[in-house]
Amino acid sequence: MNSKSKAILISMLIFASILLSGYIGGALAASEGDGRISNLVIGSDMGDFAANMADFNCNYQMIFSHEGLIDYDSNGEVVPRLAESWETTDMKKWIFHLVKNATWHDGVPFTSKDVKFTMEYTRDKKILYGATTYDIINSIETPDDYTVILNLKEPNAVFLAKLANVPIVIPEHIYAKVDDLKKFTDIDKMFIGTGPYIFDSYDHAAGIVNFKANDNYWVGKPAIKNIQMRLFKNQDTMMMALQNGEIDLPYLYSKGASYYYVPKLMDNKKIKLMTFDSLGIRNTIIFNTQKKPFDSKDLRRSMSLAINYENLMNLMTAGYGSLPNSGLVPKSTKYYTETKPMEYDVEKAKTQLDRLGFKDKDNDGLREMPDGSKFKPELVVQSSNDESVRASELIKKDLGSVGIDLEIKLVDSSTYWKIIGEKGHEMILGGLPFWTIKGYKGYYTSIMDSRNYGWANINDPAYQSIADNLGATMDESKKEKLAEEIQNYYSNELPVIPLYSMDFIQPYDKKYEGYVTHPMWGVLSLGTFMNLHESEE
Amino acid sequence: MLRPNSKTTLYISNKVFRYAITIFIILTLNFFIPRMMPGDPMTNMLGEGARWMDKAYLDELRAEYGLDRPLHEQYLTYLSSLARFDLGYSINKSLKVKDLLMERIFWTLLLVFPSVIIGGAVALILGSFAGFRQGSMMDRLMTSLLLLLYSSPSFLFAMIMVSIFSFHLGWFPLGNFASGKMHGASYVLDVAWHLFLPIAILSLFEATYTYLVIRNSITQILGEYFIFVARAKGLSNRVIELQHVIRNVLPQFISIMALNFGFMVSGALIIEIVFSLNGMGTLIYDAVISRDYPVMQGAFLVLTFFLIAANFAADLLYGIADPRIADAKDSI
Amino acid sequence: MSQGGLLVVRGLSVAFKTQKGTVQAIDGIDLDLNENETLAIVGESGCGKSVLGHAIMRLLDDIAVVRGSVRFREKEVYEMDTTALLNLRGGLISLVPQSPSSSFNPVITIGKQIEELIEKAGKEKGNGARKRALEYLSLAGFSEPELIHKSYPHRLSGGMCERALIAMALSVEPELVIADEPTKGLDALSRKNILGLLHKLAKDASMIMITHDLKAAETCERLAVMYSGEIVEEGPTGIVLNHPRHVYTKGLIDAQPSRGMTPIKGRHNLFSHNAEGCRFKERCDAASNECNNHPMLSKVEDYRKVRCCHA
Repeated sequence: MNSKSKAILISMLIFASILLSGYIGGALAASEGDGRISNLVIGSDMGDFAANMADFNCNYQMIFSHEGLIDYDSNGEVVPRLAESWETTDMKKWIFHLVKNATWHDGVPFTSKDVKFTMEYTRDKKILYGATTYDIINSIETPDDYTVILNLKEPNAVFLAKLANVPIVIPEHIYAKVDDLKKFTDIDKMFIGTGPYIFDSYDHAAGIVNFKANDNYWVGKPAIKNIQMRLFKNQDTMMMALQNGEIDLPYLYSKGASYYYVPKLMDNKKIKLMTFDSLGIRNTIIFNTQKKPFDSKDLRRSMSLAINYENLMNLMTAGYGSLPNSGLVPKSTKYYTETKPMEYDVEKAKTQLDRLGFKDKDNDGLREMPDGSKFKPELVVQSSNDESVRASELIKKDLGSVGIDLEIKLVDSSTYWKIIGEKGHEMILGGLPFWTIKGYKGYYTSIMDSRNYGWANINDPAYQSIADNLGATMDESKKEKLAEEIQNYYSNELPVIPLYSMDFIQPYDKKYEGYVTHPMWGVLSLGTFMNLHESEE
Repeated sequence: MLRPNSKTTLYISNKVFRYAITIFIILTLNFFIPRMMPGDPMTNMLGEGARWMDKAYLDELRAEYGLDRPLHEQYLTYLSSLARFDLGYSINKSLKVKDLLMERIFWTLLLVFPSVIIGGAVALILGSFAGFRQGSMMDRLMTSLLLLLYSSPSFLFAMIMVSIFSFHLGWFPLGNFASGKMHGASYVLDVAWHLFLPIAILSLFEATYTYLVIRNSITQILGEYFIFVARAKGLSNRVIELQHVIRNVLPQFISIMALNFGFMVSGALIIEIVFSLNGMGTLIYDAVISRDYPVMQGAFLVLTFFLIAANFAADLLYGIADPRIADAKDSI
Repeated sequence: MSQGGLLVVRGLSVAFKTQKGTVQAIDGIDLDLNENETLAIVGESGCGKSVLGHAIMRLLDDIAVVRGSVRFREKEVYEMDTTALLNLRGGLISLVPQSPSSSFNPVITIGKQIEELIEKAGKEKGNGARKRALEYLSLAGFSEPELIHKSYPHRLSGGMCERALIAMALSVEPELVIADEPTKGLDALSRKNILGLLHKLAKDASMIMITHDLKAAETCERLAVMYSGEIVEEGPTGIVLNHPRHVYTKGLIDAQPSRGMTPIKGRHNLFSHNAEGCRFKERCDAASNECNNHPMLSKVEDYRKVRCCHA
């Protein structure tokens, strides 16, 4: 090719790109006169678009098109949704009163039959996200179109939280005909829910999912007419798109933006940053409390004294962090009890370790076990989580300063969960996101108690009895006392060392405001969909 | 010594037989290797899934997917499904593996095929140029530049390119294959505009290694005695370079290109992540991370066929490019 | 100084710069060759005989420092432009290269490689070139020239390659053939055949045969003996071989298998040109004080020159 034809080709490409960028600019035109936002463009890291109910991640439905009986508010407390109220006297029989004006996107009225159908269908078809939730139900009655009575197999104090974790009711008139869910491919039908948004289209090549407002929504007309989800596979270009004005909101599923971008975004006059409580703990060390020698709470405590929490938090969170107390439960939680903060004292750690018999017997600068064998505690860390990898190195250094030779085992996520599932770990590094506090009998019992997920593998009868009582009592004052007991148990026994918490950072284009957060979906909450409006400037 | 070239039929049937065995072995490996990795498709659900389900339920799910059956039974099921060209359903995505692959392969080929061609052509031209003028300013400049590129972290390099051309200059989009809501000619133009930068970067990466091989191979060939003889014959430099040297580079070039073509369907993971493209790279990566056996098997199967086809083509071309190889194969 | 000669070489020197120092590969060579004359240049490996052959065709690398003059048909080779030079090589002067098995390009057929030379030399085009290539292959003793023509080099044995090389070199009817070690690695019978072929095909041309093999050298009219980059003895082949005047020439003759293979003592040193005086003195039994002066190549009889103060 000669230089002349090269020049022509290049100028043609540039011309084409100018034309096309003009086209896109036009597509992003702002709102009309009725006060509603005509188009909100959201950048998302939710990965591949998936719509089948059998999928592990049917988040698009849960966020946009479908709803559950109950929901969470910003503080993680249960609030009404399709059920406007509920009652129980024994925590075994639950009566839900449904809203009367909800309809499916195709116009069919929503009734208690749909709820019954959803629960039975999910259980029978072994749908991933809800089968075990509904498995604890013995029978379902629908005395009228707007009442559902659930009879559980046994009393359950955290049943509401369980329900709120699977916020999706499906229409009987569509799914009754679907026998093999995997072979159900009608994407428009898959998205028929009662929620604020109706599925419009998915452009695989463009990586764009379009939703339009459900103007017949029973709560009211949503504030945003069209929502466009643009899928990104990395945060860097998503933040570029925000700065370019190509997207209005970068959405990072259950993690918020990295603080790395904050200085750049603060420089941009068009962008604002909000932070909100993650309602969880960003990173912790979880011991396998049945594995020797970590079954000793004295050893766990002396190890915990060696960690410089302040320093770790500063390095990992860039000012967006806080230090959880030894009782783990976040301040915003109901029946939070003030427990001791974590203590950092190297000298004390050394004395305690000496007293426990973990001494440097061969003078190599590292402590040995009381029986003289090598002491090499192993910390399992997910290699794909850069933040955890960095944190684990700081922890290794801290423990090294008191003569503990920590070994870091970097593994991919499947291996990580396999090790935890088989209780093969000594210690793992991991976060306690919002939902971990809710499961089993509440207050982190699901990840503590060896009878449930039990990452900490606690089989102490004293603990298990507190847990059982928590799960069975309805008496609020009793509940408060048990909650205090369990937090003190965590504080005294240290099955988990809380390292640091971190607020979620949510940047957004300041032309719209009124974002409301949700513990599971961040700013993609019903509050946002109903309240978002143009900024007054 | 001199041997008539008449064993072609035997040669080809021999070849086909050996390819069949290779395919069988690879298919078997495709089954066992994913299962030898720690964990299974269900263990990952222990993480986030813990929010929804009880642990005991995972075993029920394993039974649902037949993962609890003895390995040899699963293997036989796998083989019989393959015989019916049934790749099954993805465990993680609830889609037919076949549909998932078809869509991804189309876009992946659209991205990688031109890159392999352009990268190969650029490498051949620049590599020859540098090889023939070894030690010159241009050679030193190009070689150090491409070496730098070859050893630079590709994610960082691609990100810098995006930041310059897409973010600051705004000439190209930040990612994806298209802008959406377009049809006909403008859609094609739009896709081309979206693919320009990723293909340019990918071509450069494809070119670096090939360039170095071509250049070094030319240097080596220039030192061969028959090149001296060609000069003694009074042939011009042009004739020597184009006919005597390049023809000797071709076998090596063909084998690199065949390899590149073969691996084409495995996608370009880094580029796909940088440009948010739904290609085979991220599909395979995600499948491996989540231990989605059916997707892994399907993807590896396609990869196997591409690799073997590329190998077969390379074998044939190689024989044409280098008669010594053809003869050596004849005699086996 | 014969002006009418085909090739006139005067004061030709070639030096290579190496890491160990400068190697003076050939040093002040004077050579005359008439039309239809055959000259053998003999010497141990490293004496510079091949470099001399290449220097005549201006085939040396850029790193070689060449001084002196090479005149072919009264034209200075080192002043020729590219066109003239490309006409000279493989046109007026043909090289029969050494190491036959690596002289052909492995991925091009023998026929093509011969034809490309014929076409380049402007002798024939297309089918004519093909006919001529076949003709010369047949002249070179191949009973099935067509088969050889379409064969790739690796299918031919060393001896066959050598014959094909000779056919190629002579297919352009050069005025001068430089045959570089044409009998290297061949058994006695093949050697005889090759030499016969070479002389038969080159009967209308002059020839310089570079060889370490005195039996091959015997087939040429004149003989020049080289040692350490210099010609140490020169004259009609029969006379020189029967009555050598230089100790080195005598040594070469005695080192032949037929003469009991008595090796010349010592080893040739690449840097002997740096020493004062006669370069052979370290290995010479007759060396005396006089040998500390560098001897000249002087005429000792008609047609005959020797570089030794004792000759």
